[in-house]
Amino acid sequence: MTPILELRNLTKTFGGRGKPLVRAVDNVSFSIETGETFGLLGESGSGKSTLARLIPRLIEPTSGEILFEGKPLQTLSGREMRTIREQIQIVFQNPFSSLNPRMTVRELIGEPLVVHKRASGAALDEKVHEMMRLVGLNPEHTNRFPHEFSGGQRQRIGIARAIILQPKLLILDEPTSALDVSVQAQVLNLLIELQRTLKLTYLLITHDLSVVRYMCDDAALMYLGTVVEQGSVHQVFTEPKHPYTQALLRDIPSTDPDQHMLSSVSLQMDISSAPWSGVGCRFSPRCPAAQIGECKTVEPPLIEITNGQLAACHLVKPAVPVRS
Amino acid sequence: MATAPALKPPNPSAFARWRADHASQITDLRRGVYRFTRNRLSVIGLLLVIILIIIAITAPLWIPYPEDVTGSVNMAQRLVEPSALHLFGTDDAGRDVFSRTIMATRTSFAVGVIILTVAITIGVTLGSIAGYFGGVTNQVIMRLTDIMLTFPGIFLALAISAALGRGIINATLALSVTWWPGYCRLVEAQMLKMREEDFVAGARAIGASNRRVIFRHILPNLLTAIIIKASMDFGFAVLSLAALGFIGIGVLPPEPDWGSMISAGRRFIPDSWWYSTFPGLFMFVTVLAFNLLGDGLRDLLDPNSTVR
Amino acid sequence: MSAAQPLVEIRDLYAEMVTFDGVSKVLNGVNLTIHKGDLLGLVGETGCGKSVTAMTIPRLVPQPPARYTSGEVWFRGENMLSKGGEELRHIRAQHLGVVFQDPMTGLNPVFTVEQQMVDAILNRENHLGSASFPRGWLPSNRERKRQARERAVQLLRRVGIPEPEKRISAYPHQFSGGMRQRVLIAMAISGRPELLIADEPTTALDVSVQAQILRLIAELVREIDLTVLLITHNIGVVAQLCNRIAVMYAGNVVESGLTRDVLRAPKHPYTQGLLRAIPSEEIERGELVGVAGTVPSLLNPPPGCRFAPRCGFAMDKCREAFPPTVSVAPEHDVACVLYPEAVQVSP
Repeated sequence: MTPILELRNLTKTFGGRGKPLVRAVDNVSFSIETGETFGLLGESGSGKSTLARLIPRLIEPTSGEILFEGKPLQTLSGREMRTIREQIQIVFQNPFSSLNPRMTVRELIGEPLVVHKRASGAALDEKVHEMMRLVGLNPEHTNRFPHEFSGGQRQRIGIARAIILQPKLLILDEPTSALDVSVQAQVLNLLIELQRTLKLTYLLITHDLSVVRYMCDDAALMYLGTVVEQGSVHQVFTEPKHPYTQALLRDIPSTDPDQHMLSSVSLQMDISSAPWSGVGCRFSPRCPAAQIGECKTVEPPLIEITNGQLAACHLVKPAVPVRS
Repeated sequence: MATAPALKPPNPSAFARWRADHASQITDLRRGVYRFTRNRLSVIGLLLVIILIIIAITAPLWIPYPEDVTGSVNMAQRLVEPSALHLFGTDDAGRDVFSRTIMATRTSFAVGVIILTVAITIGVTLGSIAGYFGGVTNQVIMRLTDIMLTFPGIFLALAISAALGRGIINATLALSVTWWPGYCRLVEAQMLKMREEDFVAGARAIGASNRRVIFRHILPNLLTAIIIKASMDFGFAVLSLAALGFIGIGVLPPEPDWGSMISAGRRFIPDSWWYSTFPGLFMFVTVLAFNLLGDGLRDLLDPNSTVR
Repeated sequence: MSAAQPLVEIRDLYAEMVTFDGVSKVLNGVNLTIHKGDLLGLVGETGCGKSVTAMTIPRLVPQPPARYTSGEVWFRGENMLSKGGEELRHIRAQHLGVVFQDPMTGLNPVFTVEQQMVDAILNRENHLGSASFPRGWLPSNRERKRQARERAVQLLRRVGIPEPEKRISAYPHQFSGGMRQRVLIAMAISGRPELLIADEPTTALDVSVQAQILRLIAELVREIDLTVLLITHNIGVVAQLCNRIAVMYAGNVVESGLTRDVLRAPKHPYTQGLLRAIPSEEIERGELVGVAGTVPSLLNPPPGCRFAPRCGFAMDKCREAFPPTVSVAPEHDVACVLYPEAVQVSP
């Protein structure tokens, strides 16, 4: 079956012409199956947010392909893209800045209908109320402004706005990072519920590994613009192959007080004090594993290690013969 | 902040519903008014502005000597001191300074409104385009703006008047042309900032056109800044018009205008001090009033400032 | 419960915030004790009052709009609520260190790290203004500055900044977030304080950097005999770093004690709900429970126990008055009526 979204060698560079060249997204490829929840993991500087904006072409890719249901998006005209936008929607991270402070909830949630000329007047109100109920908001609040709602409720408004056109793919950029943990639980459960009833596919972008473990079927971990490990959530979390994945999993503070992780902190430096020279593996300046010559000179390709699990590391050898 | 409200009684009146719906806006307004009224100076500014506007609008109905405004000459009453008959005295053609000063208010305000309307229309449009689209478009527009800004308004007005002739229409035109760059800059800078905001990305993500994003999403957020600037500018626009009148361009005699009155009255200082002084006073009060109001409006319209 | 006098003791603290919309009752009788050598994690969600509580100790909560209506705050045996002016400044300079949340804005961008650290160090030693022009040029002050700079370099080395003698002359924007936070920690401990208050020090940082900072704090606690009050909403951080935990909800400490005891066997329904809201390995998709409802408005808080409206175990008694704090085990206190047989600790 055609994956609903496929990225092939997607690249985005900023700068050039006098300014330092930044490869925010470098040759990223992965695909998402219809109906699944795909987690894109990464910390600051990994390029995941840029990727989130590349897919609906809020930023233009420098090169590579974006295939939505098999059709390439990067070559579409503005008008064709607008039609596609009904099917790919995005929920932003910051519930405090992602909603226009001067629009009422009704205007915000109803706007997609107005823009795509789907409904107006009473029909629009009806649809807005329906969405509000669906996400757990009180329909009597349609004339209120975003700042009157709490963070969790604002995020619900953002979700309602994104699903009102019944998209097929929903990109969630750090949807719960700014929320308290109990509110996060509510929003995550809402998302699971909505996926079931509306048959959505999710691309969930976050730095929070526990959220990915809870929500996602498959995951890809990004570092400095490239995917360093990819596979099913079970594979990535229980048998991580890439040293970065292993380090991250070790570094998450566990809520079990008997698991002492502080005594074995793995990564010594942060990204900016150990910068990538531009040659070789991006992670090598910080890699705790014993490195071989190639690590500094050749960028490791993302190859399949075991069934469906990929990693980009010279130190990891595939268990099965390498496919193309 | 918001918890589910208690159930309302069935079938409330339409007004009560409207009240409930817009409760937050009403609260914001009340909060703004509260902040505004705490600042005595802004309230004074507001009152003065209101008084001046009323004067400007109703002037023809109550000025004591309307014929003096249109140019009647009464040499017998030349340069009479301020008295009960002539509150501000008379000028060198025997005309009542009070009536003329009041009528000049009307002219000044009308011109001020026109100047700002034109300036804002041009400036905001160009600034939006430059700020939103960036690149070459931005460079072209902003460099044009820079060029316009290097011309002192007075000189441009002189040039235009020299080319097109004297008169209030040409003066208004000249001033409008020199005023828009300020708004263009303001809007461009804000637009550049707002363009990166998440809610703009959100609008684009749902497929909104550029026009919609600019006018429906970004500009309403810039309205505050524009209104504040406009209220401050009004005083200075009036001042500029007076400056033109002072050097003899602008309003044609015998139309009354503060600037030309002050200019004409210079010869008679200090003996017939009233000729220049009263128009000058009115000008001063107008500029001051609008400045105070502008300051106060910033408090009223900015929802983010905290009350102390 | 140790017999020695606790370093910090907050007793029945009530505080309000005056806002345009009304009076917000932010603290509803907070009780908190910190002993020397403790690493206490003060946990709670947005609006629970943890920052206000912690920042009351150095009196960094602006009054107005805040006002303390009753209660006591003891630090080193002195009542902090009655301190002001010079005395308060002295205590802040020599006995307290505060690290704020955002390392991006905690340092002044137009001064080098050296300038800021030397200034901070001299300030703590009561030589305010000795670093700057013109007094900075006096010979006595030049010597002081030199010594302060040496100390600053030592501190930077201690907190893990590589090549401190060179890096000290850099500007804040030339440091990464994690490095900046280390600088802030260095400045906070430069006065050899007894108590370090850290407000969400790792929230803005990546997971791996967070782990490093936490480890640094743990080391400092051992080496310089530091007591730490850590404010955070991240229970994992508390589980790994802190020996004691206090959970706050809507202006009260609802549960406190040894971290292991509280996290392994939480007694308060809110703590239980909070722990159930964290997605962990054992929880299957769709089974995350969390806490029903939303945080109450503090302008009109619910009567009695503020958690009652959301509590599955709520009884009429809960709404009558805030439950007394009882001790369900040595070193484990709860403020809940579910444990009537326990020993009452405070009203």
